[in-house]
Amino acid sequence: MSRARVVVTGLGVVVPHGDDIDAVYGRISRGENECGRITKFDPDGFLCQIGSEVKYDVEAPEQVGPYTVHNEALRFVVGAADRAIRYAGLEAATGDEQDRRSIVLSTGVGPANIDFLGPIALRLHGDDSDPYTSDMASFYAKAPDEPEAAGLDEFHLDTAAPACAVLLGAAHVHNTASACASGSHAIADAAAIIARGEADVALAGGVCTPVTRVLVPGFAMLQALSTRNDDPAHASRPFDAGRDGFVMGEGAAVMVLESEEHAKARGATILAELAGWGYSCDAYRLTDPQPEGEGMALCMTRALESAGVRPDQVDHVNAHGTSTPYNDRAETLAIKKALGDHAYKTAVSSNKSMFGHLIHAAGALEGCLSVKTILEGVIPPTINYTDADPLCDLDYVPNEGREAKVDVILKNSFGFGGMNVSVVYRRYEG
Amino acid sequence: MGRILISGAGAVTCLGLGSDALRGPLLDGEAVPFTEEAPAGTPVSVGRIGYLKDADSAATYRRWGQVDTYSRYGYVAARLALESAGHAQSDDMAAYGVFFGTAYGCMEENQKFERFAVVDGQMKGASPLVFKGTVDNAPAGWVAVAWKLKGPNATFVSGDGAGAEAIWAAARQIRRGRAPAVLCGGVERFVDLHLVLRERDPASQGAVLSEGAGVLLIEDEAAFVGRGRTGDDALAELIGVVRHRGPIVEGLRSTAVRLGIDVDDVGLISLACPDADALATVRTQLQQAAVASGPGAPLEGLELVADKTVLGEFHGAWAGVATCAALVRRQPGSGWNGRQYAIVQVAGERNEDFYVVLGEPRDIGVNQ
Repeated sequence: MSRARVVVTGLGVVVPHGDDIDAVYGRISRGENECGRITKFDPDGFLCQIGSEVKYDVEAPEQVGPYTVHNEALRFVVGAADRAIRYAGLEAATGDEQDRRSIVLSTGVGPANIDFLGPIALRLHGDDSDPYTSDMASFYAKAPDEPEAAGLDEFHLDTAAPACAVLLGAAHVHNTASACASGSHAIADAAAIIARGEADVALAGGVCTPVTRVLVPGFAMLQALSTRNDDPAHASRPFDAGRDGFVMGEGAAVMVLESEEHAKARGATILAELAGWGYSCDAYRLTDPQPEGEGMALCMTRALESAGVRPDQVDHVNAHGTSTPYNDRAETLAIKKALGDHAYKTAVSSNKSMFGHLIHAAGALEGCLSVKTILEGVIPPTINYTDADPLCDLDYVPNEGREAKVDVILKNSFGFGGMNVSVVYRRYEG
Repeated sequence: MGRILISGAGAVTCLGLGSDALRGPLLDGEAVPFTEEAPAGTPVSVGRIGYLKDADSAATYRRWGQVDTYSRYGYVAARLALESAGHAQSDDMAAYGVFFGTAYGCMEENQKFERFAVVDGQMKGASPLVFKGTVDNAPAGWVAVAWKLKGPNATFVSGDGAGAEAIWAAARQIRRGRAPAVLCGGVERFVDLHLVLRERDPASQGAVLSEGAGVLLIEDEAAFVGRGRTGDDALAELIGVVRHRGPIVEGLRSTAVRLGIDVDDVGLISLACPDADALATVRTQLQQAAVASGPGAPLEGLELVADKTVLGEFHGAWAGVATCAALVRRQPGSGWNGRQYAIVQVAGERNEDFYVVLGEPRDIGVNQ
């Protein structure tokens, strides 16, 4: 079955390292860290006190069509979308052209934060009652006058994707949820929509604001987070023998995808080709990867087949690389299964060593950095890599960026539920 | 490319387990046993599932105790769909996929978990088991784990159309050869916060809010025949899913054109109307359109139903539940009111509708 060729023409980020993708990539390729002690809430007493936060004022439209950009998650994603659309040199479509544009976003941990859910839960349920069976009468009586009431509408209406649709002039909106694989999942789904000929342009990516006093301890309970609280700058250390979990990060990242035909027709600068993608499911446990990396390997293989790329043509693997003991070991095994002996000749690095894990936005940010890697020719390093783990024995580009001609990048993203997504980015040759 | 068949269906609603539980209220006019009225002074009723006890599924799944209620609905509906498709738990279904949709997802687990941020400030009383359920894709994940389904797996969270989008995307996975079969549909679990939301929404006045799941097993015809199933075992052919923005008359016309079906062969249209007035309005629009399109008796032989008026509003689970309801209305061998096709309308977000088109399964395996 023939499919349209999909290219990347725009990138936009609002992430801990900044809101200009060129500058962000520059800092990442130099191995600059943005993980530190959490400032968004007082982390004293929490098991994990480390985060990677957006600490600058984000410039974003305050109003997008009917949608008010009134919270942090919306500012992040609308800001990133606005930058990506400008990067691509696009204007909002009008008329019938809107029917040829789509939005595919992952916004799983956006407005759903304790700013109102927590207080509402307490008000509804008291200290120990069950949300399913509580008595709501008193809340109904009070709701219109309570400050949380305004938050209900915010929760009900996740307006991130519709707001981005206004910016792009897109008629179609899709939302995906694959936990930590969601960012890449959204990008792969958007690419598929274009490849099938259902759209000419798609804006795809994710947003996440998980550095909250709910989600940080939540992931810490699952022993997924680093507790190197006395040394936060070195807490995220993927593939290193001393790794003890990931660092929670926040931000938004999106990219503009187009059919090659559409991009060329409007004279756009094509940044890279999104050559292929693959999905699989571990079907092992809800929160742990299959230890032998079988599902991960399957998804990488499917992505390479989809791209028509042989394993020995892969120049660089932009790893999921969370810095958890389980993931990094399983991913290493999976890369070896998928690439065979070529795995040992391939530069594998984890961007998360510098900004932690952006959960729903992770795959999108790392996808944007993959595109920049192809364009700029410097593979970002895995920082904080000091002690080799015998079970992680690949070339992880330790501590310093590496100049290299990179034509093909395999980008991995894996998530709760056993979701695996791999995307192949390739140097564009018209 | 072979056809796609609906080989199994499972519904979990306040009416009971399985699609057959829908039969009485839909076909015989039995009263729906909505288990709970909303608090005094609120106009929303609730179709909650009070019967799904541990005993029902614990025996079939050793990790049942870890599974949150939202995921349990998806799990049980999936089990019913697989059983009705003739699958045993021990069958090798590794290549099968799971595509679910939801509008509200895991809000219950989020609420349960997040209240500890207020209660003790540092979440010390919160449970990691609850936290596991705070991802929207938990049902799809649990279903995959339970039956070792390693094919494509996705969860759509695009509002009320999410379940239809899941069915649509699942069919594409089969057409592109990525899976021989996919469990698809939608899951919703409502908590009282939803009632607060509905209370504040003027459009919801008088609505019945229902929770549950509607899951289909859709299957490539060759795979279906290959495992010894025959045409008599097929519940329907999934002709396709069409997405359309605009009035329903245009949407139905566009659906017929795009899928190459004759509107005169449609015997049932299940509309997404929330009440009898809306159904009457659509009926009038369709009659006017039929009269305008040429001679003949308008809408003769075509049944229009609004199952939401009986079953309630399932949001992201509606596509799955409504399709199960349409299958209940099918007469095996003759289709829907003696005609070949049924269309299920699912109202999505931003004035976009999905049309799920079912066909009477004929000549199954003949060309395999």
